[in-house]
Amino acid sequence: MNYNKLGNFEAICLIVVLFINHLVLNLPQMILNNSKNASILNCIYILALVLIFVILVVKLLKNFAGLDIIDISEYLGGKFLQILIGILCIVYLLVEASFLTRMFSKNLFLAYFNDYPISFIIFLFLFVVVVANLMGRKSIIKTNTIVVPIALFSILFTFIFVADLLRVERSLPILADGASTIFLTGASNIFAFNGLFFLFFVSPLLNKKQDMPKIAFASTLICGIFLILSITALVFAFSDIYSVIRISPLYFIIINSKLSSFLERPEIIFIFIWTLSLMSFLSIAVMFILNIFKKMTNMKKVKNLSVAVCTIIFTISLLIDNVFTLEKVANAFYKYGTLVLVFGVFTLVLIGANIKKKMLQKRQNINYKE
Amino acid sequence: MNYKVRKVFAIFILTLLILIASTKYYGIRGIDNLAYVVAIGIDVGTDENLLLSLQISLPNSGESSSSSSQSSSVVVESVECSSINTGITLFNSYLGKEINLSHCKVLVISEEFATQGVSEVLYTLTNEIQFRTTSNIIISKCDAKSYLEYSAPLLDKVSARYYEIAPTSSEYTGFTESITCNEFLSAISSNFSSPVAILGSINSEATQGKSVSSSDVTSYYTAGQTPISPKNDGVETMGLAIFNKDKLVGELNGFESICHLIISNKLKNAQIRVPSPVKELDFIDLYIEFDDDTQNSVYLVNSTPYITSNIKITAKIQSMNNNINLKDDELVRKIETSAEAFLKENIVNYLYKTSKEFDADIDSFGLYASKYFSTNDEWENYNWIHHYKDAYFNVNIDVNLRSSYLLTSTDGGSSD
Repeated sequence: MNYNKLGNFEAICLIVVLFINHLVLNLPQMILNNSKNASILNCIYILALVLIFVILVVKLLKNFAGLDIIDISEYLGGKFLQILIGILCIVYLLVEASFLTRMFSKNLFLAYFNDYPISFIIFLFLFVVVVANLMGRKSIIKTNTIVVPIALFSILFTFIFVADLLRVERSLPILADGASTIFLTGASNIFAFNGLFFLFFVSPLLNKKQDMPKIAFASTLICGIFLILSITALVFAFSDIYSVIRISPLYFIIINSKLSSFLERPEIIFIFIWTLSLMSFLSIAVMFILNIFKKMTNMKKVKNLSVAVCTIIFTISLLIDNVFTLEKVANAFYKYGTLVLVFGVFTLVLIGANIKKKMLQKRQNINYKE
Repeated sequence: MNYKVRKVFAIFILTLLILIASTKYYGIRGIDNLAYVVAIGIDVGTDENLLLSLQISLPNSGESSSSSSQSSSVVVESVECSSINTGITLFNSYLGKEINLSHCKVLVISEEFATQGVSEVLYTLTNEIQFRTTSNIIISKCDAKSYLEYSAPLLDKVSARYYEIAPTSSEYTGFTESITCNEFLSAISSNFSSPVAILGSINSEATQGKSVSSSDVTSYYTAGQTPISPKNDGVETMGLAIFNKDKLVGELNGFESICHLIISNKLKNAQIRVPSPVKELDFIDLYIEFDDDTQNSVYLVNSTPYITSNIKITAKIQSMNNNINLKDDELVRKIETSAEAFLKENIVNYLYKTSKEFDADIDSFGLYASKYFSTNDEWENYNWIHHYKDAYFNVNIDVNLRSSYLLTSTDGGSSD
C-alpha cells in the first residue's frame, strides 16, 4: 500500500475516531436502553470481553504482520474471498458514514439550522471530505490526530461539569432488569467498540509493526474508559435517563450542566468540536473505501473517485426520510453490522488464515522430512 | 494537488469565510424579528385548557428607569389556548414578531393548574429546542398571569437578569431551593423520589401574615405571607411546592425548606431562631451551615422503612445582649442543646409531614432503600411511595457552636 506510515498515536486516533462519533450521537442511549441502571456494570463487562477479543485478534494477526484483512482474505480464499470481504467492508463503511452523517445533520438541523434543507448540511460535510481526500492521506491522518484528542477532552469536560450532580445510589438496584440483561443479552453491547474495524486495516500502515498489540490495547482502553465515563455521568446524574429518550445524551448533559450557569450556549463549542470529529471520520472512511477499492480492482489512481464515493454517501444518507425509521435502521445496522462483520467475519477470516498457514507449514515440514 | 492549486484553494476558502462573516443575509432572523420571552406563565383557562401568559422583553429595555409595579422593560400578554404550541402560534400572529424562548428563565405554573398535573406542559416545553431546561420552575399561589405582572425587580432593570439571580437567594436564606425544570422532570419520572418546585406568590397587605411576636420564627412564613411593606406589591419566593408524581399535593414554609435542605444535603447556609436557654435572651439567632454532610440510611423492618439521619451542623451566634459570655463552656453547651432539640423537633415534624400528609419522598430516601432490591422489578413491586407513608424517622443531630462574630463576651469575662 502506498500510505504514509503511521506513528502509534496516529494509529490509535484512527481507531478511536469512529467510536467518538457514535459516543456523541446515541451510543450511550443504546446501552442505557438495554441495561438501564446497570449500564456501568455492563460497560465494565463488555470492556473485559473486548479485551479478550483483542488478545485473540493480536495473536491471530501476529502471523500476518504488515497485512490487512483484505490481504489476509486473499491469502485464505484467493481473489474471490478478497473481493467478497472488500465489498462487505466498503458497504459497511459507506452505510456507517451515511447514517452517521444523516443522524448528525438531523440533530444540527433540528437544533440550529431548521431554515436550511438537510441536504445542504450533508453537502457541506461531504464537500470537506472530498477536498480532504484530494489533499491527500497525510493531511487526513494529521488532522485526525489533532481532532481526536480535542474531542476526547470535550467528552471529559462533560463529565467534569456534571460531577456535582453525581449520586452513586442512582445505579441501584444493582442488577436492573436482571443478570441476563447485563451478562447475556448485554454481551451484544460489544458493538460499542466498532472502532476496532480499523484495527484490521492499520497493520500495513504502521511505522513499527511490532507495536500492533500496544496500539490495539491502548485504543480499546481509551474507548472503554470514555464509554464508562459517559455512562457513569448519565446514570449517576439523571434519574430519568432510561425513561426519557433524547436525541443525544451527551448534548443533554452539557445543556444541563454547571457550564450553562456561566456560559450562555456552551453546547455550541462542543457541537463545533464534534462536527470536526465527524468530518475527520468521514475523510478516513472515504480514504479506506478508496484503498480497498484500489486493492480489489488494481487501479493505480483512485483519488478522484472520492467525489463518486461522497455522492453515494450523500444518496444513502437521504434514502430514509422518516427520522424515527432512520434511527431504528441506523441503530440496527450499527449494532448487527458491527457484530457480524468486525466480531464475526473478520475473526473467522483470521482464524481460517491461521489454520491454513499452520497446515501449509505442517505440509512443508512433512515434505521436508520425506 | 500541487502547491499552486493548494494556495489558490486556500485563498478562495479564506475569502469565502471573510465574506460570510462580514455580511448579513437580509432574511436572517435577528433581534428586530424576534420577541424574546423571559418568563412563561401557565394558568387554568376559562373556556380552553390553559391560559398561557408570556412576559416578553422589550427592545432597549436596559435603558428603562421606570419604578412602576410592572417594570416597563417587559410586557405581559396572555392567550387562552388548548396547548402551549397553539398559544405561541397565536402570539406570533398577534405580535407580528416570532416568539423566541431561548432566553426564558422561569416557568410559572399556578397552584390550581399544578394540582391537575404538569407533566404534559413540561414535556412539551422540554421537546422545544429553544426552551432551556435549566429554567427555574415556580408554583404560584396566585394565578401565574398576576405573578408575571407583579414580578417587577426592585434592584434590577432587566427582568431576565432578575429571574437568573433571584433563585440564588436560597443559597444564603435556605427559604426555598433553586429547582430547574430538568431536576423537576427527572424527579417526576423517578421511582426513588418526588418532585419539588419553588413556591411563589404576590406579597401584598392582604396576603401577609399576622404581626410577628417574639415567639414566632420568621422563617415559618410561606410565599406571600412575609410582613414586608414594599412601596408596591411585588412577588416573593418562599417555601417549596410538593408534588406526588406530577400533581401538586402540598407546600412547605420557609423553615421546612431549611429542614429539607439539611436532610437532602443541599443547605449552603441559613439563619435560624432558636429558644434561648438563658434569661438574657428570649431567642437566639444562629447562622448555620454543614459541619459534615448529612448521613442518611434506610433499613427495612418487616417491609417498613426505618430512616435514620445523622446531621452535623456548625453554628455561629448572631444575637447578643448584656451579661453574655460565650467563653463559658456551660453556656455554649446549653445553647447547643437547645438548638439540637429545636432542630430535631422541627426536622422530625417536617419528615412526618412529607410522609404522612403528602406521601411524597422529596428527600430521595428511596435511593438508599433501593439497595435492598436486586432488580428493578422487585423494587417496583415493593412500591416505595406506598411504604414511605408508614416510615419511621430517627434524627440524630449534633450542633457545634463554633463562634460568634465580633463579640465574644459582654459581661467583662467575669465567668472566665
